[in-house]
Amino acid sequence: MICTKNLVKTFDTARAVDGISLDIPEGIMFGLLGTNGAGKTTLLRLMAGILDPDSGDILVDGEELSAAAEKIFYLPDDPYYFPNATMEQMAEFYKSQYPDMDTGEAEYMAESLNLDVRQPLRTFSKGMKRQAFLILALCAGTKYLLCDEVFDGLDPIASDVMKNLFRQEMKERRFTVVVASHKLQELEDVCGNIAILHKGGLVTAGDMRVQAKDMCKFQCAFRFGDSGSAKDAQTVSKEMKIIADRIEKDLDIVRSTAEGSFITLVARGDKDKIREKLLDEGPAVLNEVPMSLEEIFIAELEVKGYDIRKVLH
Amino acid sequence: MTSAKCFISWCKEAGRGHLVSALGWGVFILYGVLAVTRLSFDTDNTFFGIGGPVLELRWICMGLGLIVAFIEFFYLFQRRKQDFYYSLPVSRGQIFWSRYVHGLFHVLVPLAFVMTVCGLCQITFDPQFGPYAAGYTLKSIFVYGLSFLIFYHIGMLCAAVCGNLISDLVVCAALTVYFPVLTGNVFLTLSRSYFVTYYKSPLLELLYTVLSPERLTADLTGMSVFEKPFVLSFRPPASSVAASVLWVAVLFLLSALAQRKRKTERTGRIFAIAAGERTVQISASFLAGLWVFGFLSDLLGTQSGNASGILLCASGGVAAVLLVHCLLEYLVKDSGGKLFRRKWQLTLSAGAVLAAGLAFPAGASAYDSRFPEDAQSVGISVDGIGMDYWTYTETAGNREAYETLAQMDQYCLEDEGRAAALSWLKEIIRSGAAQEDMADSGPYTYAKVCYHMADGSTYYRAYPLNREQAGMFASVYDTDEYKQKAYPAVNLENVSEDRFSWEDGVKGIALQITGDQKEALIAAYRDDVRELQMEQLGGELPCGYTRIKSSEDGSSTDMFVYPFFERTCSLLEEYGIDTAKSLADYEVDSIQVMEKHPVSGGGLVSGGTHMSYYDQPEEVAEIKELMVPEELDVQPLLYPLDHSSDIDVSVMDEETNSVIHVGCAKYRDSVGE
Repeated sequence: MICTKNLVKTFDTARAVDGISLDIPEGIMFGLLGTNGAGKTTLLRLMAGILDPDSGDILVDGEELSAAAEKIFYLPDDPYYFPNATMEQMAEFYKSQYPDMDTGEAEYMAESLNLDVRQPLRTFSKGMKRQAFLILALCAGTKYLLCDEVFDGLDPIASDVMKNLFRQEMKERRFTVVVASHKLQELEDVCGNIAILHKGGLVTAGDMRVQAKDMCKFQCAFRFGDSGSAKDAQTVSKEMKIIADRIEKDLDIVRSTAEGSFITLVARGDKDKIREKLLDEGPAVLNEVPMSLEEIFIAELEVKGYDIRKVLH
Repeated sequence: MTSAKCFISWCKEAGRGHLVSALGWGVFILYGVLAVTRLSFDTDNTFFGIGGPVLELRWICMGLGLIVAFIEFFYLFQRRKQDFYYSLPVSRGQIFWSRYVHGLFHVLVPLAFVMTVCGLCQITFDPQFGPYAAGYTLKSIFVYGLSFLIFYHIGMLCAAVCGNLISDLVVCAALTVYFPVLTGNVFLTLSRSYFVTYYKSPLLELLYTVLSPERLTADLTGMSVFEKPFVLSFRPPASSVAASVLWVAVLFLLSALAQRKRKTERTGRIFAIAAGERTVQISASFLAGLWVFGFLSDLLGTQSGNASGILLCASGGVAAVLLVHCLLEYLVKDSGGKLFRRKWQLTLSAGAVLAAGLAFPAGASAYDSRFPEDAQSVGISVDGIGMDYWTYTETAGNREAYETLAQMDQYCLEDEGRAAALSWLKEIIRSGAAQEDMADSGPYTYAKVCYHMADGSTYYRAYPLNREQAGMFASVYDTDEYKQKAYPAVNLENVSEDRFSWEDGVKGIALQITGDQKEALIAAYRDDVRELQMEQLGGELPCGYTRIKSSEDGSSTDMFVYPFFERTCSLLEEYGIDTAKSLADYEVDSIQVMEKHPVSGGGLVSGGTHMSYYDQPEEVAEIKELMVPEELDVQPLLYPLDHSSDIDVSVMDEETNSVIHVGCAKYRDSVGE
């Protein structure tokens, strides 16, 4: 487990990481989410040992970071390679640094993705380079892999290939991946736990689905007046407001939006009780809708008082 | 730790591009080939290691020091590469020091190898080299290795302190020239501006040498030694070796410290370490301030000594500190940072400039009045006494120090001369008020003095003299000790086998005399010199000189003879020399006089010279009476001649039926003729 305690890193007067305390459990893909300048890369570089924190600690499996450096592989968004180096040469170099590096496996994986290990890396496209370095990173045999914007700029197919590489490797051995990204969509289908950073601080962290298990989303449609005679919009709005107030009073509403005679709401509590209460209002239609990770996030963040537009795209 | 992660493997890793190894081995092998080729043609004037002619090897070592440091530590300026290395399970120190060792290895090993090969080759060409081979080769490896190390460590420190290549290059250049500028320019200017009696300072000269990496390498590698015996037996000065080792040690320690304190996130900025940034700011603003202080002092001349002058210089110095400080602050500060955020630093720099600058006018009186009474010996050179006119003009303008230093060495008085000199100097210092007389007309001449103290230290002073004080120098001149040094012929012994010739400034005549006659001539000369008094020198010029060429070592000693040297002249007459014969007594064919005068207006203009050519017998007969051969003008202060024109007198030599061209000056009385 990687554990950071009150981590602070200041660049001149700007606090890039502002007192972040975070536990990254073993054996999962952990996402770091935030806008540009949120502190994701700085946090990763701190965890990789590239930067020294101004204050705070980083413990890897209870050890100081310097003692556990062999357990960590850092994959930046634009990885460095020696001039004219091939993937094979880079694998040889990494083998000299990481004792568990499996060069054979790297070659096998590269072949399966049609990457020529004897071709200079400089001739690879951006996506090919990303794949090549991801293969090298996965084959380094480290317990922790820190990836910065690893899916950024990739087409959906390349992105899927890389995600599959992660999944495949995680099936075979227990290791931890920390992926930083500014796009939630890139993380939601691979990351179990996600931490959201904003202006160097930690907004929230953990398994959002677990946190959201007592949350549910319903869509209701109401019909006002006699059949065939529609009420005017102002009246509908007034009546919807009354209903919404009533619901809000009786339920633990996290988020609700009303549009015409429709209400979409996210509420916390027992699902059946919530359904029962909504049925009491006599909706024409009542559906439970599955929540996306983004919605869970948005809901969580709004509860915590963050302006969602400033934290996420 | 895997085997590849050990230090030696990282050293190999540092050479992945093979650039440093190719550079180190390539340059030295090329140098070796050229050196051996040159040695195969000439082993007397060509050397492969220590010695003045081997200028290129010194520059190779200095250049390689900087270039190899740039290449080895270039990763410190590349964020991607740095992230890559620092994310690996290896310490930053190991990466840094493995590169350090790699750089050392690929320069010092080829240097030692090529020097050894050159040494072995020279043994085969040059039997004389044999006894010196091992010592010379090892010394060469040592001094050139040390020269490389100084610059390698300068490059390493700058790379560790700076955040990008441009600032690295600038700081590197600044560090190399900082102390030479401070000691050789700023302090020198301030000393000359405020110390009336300043001539030179051994301490300042030592500091200039040991604090200048370039001068230090020149001193180490024997750049001033050219003769083969001296080159082969050359030993680098202990002070220079000690200074070089200290340079390397200090730079190494600072680099080690900087490497540890370096902030990765500051890569790409001007400085990677805040302490380095501050140090450079303080140093640069201090130098700029003091330089302006010195410049204004030099500009104001004598005015710089009064209160308003000092105030102006100090204000200029402080303004320069402020300007440079703000300029550097503007370059290094963050976008939102304030220009005056480091007020204490600015105050410190300005205070240091004021303290250092004002120390000169404050200490001027003590400096000028210092009189080391207990000096063991005193070396004296009075401008215009015992030197030819052209040397006089150069020493008087302080353009040439070589002749003055040679005279101080020659006229080093230890006995009665020392006592007389100290007494004379004491009087000069005491009557410092007399300098006020010089305020308008300027000093008549200067006495440059070197006091040699019992502890081996030396003090140099240049005392401005008025005419009266110069006249008082007779008390020194008239001592036997001084005259023995001024007329070295009196010390000659066993001259019977030596070759004597008489020179009257026009022609030379070999003296066909016996050994006893030669001894008698020297004895007569000795007596005449003993009775000589300085005031007599103002009355007459020498009528000629006897050149004595030693049969033992071939050295020449000139014995200047004045008309009032009765015993000597009488003997010379006896030996068939007409000592009264002057230029006027020769058959002069023509006289060419070229006068120069300044021409106003810039650019290419004609004029400025006027050539007169006299070849009519009447003209020639009249003018030649006024001419004196320049060779006889040996007391330009005591017996000044007119050198305003370049005069060439063509004398007919009937014996050889040829024309002798004699450079002449005019008697002062003839000015305006």
